[in-house]
Amino acid sequence: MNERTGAVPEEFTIPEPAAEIDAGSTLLFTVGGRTYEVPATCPHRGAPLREAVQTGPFLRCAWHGATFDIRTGRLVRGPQCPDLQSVDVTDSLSVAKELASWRS
Amino acid sequence: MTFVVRERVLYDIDVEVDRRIRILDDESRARTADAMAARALSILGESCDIAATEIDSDDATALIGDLWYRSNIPFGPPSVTSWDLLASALGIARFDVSDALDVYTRLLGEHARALVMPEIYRDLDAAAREYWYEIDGDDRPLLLLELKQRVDCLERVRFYADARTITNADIASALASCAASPPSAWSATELALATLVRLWADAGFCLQEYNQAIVSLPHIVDYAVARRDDYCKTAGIEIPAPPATFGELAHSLRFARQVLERTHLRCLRFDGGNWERREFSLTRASLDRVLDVPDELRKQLDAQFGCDITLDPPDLLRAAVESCIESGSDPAEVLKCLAQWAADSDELPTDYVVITAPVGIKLERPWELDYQDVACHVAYRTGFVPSVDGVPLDYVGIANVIGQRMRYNVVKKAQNYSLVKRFPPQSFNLPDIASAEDANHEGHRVSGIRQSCRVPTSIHYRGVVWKGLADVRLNRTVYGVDREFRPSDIPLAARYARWLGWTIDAVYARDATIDPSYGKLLQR
Repeated sequence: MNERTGAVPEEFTIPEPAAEIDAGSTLLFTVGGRTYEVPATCPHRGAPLREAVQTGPFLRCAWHGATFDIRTGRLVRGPQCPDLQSVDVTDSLSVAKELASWRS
Repeated sequence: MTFVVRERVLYDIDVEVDRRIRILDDESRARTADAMAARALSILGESCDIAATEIDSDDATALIGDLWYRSNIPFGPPSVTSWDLLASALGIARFDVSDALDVYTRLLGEHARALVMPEIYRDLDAAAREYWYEIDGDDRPLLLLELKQRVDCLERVRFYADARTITNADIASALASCAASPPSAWSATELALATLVRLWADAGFCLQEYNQAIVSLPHIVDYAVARRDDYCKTAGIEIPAPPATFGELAHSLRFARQVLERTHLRCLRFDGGNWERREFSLTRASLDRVLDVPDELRKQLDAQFGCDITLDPPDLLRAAVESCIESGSDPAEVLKCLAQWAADSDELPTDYVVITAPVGIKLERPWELDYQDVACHVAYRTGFVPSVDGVPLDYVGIANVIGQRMRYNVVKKAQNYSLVKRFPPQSFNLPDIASAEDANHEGHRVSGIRQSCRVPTSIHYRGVVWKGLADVRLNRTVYGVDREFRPSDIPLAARYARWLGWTIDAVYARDATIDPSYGKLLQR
């Protein structure tokens, strides 16, 4: 026990907060009637983007405020980090299109 | 449990400060930016200048959106006279108000022309250069070099000009360049930077509130006028007419700040993720109303040190210190008792509390303080386990990383009091609340400083008041908007700082000192 803090030192560990999220996991967000697929973790420090806040076209990471334009994936505000890899998947999620393809 | 009733007016400040720091999170503003971008692109399409810009639609939309965001900092939508920013983005104009008005009118309609334009905006470039020519030619370079040194010692500045981030070093370089030539030879960006820094030095606002904003004369005037008018409104005094000159603007802003400070405490809200800051003020009365020591803590002090629990807070804490010393214990025990109570308090939840103060030597000449002359103690909330919240360091590691940084801060701040400085001083701080503190700071990352609230206090020694040499820091190691400290939390945090001040002053008054071990790293 440490005399000053009265605390018992714990094992020195560096947890990996994003480790619980499978590599390659993605999330879907809708902006203006179109759907975009983005990675499930923030490119800044790996925060889970399922906790992020969406405001219109902007997605703000809950950890450090990195804010991305979902439509383009561009970092528009916050700490320096790569852009978010955003893909417009609206058409591939279209049931009508899928049905048409299936029928043909 | 004692519940502290928070004043309604404090919640109103919470809402307003939140609104101002989350400019981009406001959906209506996002829609405005999109609409602007669409209109601006349409104008670009009609303009022969578009060929020269050679930017595609996505790039243009991103650029205009970015400029819209930056021109909203720090108070909100820019005035008509700040539309030169957009005009500049379009490559149509640069720092020319009449051209900016033309663009504005094309974007938003003819009624824009009818808006009143204050005199100072009519020829800002000339007004700014005149501000500098008012100073004697021999004195001007000296003033610029003095400003350069002050900016060098300032906490991180992050402005935006010429499509890039402007740091302290960039500003210092611009000021040095200005010192070597007459104002007529300064570039537009140099003139704007020098003028902003001189306004700051003359008027005494928080320069970093301008972080991420675009350095241009119209936006600088917009900001300074809005800051002045905000001080006047908060202080309950008449808002003056728009200034005619930069000298008048600096004088009236300084006066408004001084009036405000008589009744209010200026504070800051930081966003550690993007360096943005917002200033706000709390009435000193609202801070004084929560100063009393709660019954539970009084009983705890009595049980631990034996003191009359009916005394007023300063006398109570002095009595605790005296009892502690007379019983042969180190007076740091009283500080630790206060810190632990704060760490475990339900009134203002926190994961750990950091207290820092000189141990009690060299107080006639604090500029000679060394690290080991400054005591720092970290009190952890009962049940707090760093690794549970993903904090890399353990208890001892956190205390050592923070302790050394706190000692460094005090030693650097104490240099402000010396004419002969051992190294550049660190500027004094206003009380602040901060989020995302670990986004750009490795020491904060490893010790889990994520949401914090920091309140400095003065110490008194033999009739002299030394400010900025002691402080209390509250830290939360969790993320999330709902876990952030709010402006309305500052009165409760500020009382800890006042308690620390009263306690440490009682130690100094007896010519006692804190045990030297509190100035050193913890051993495992």
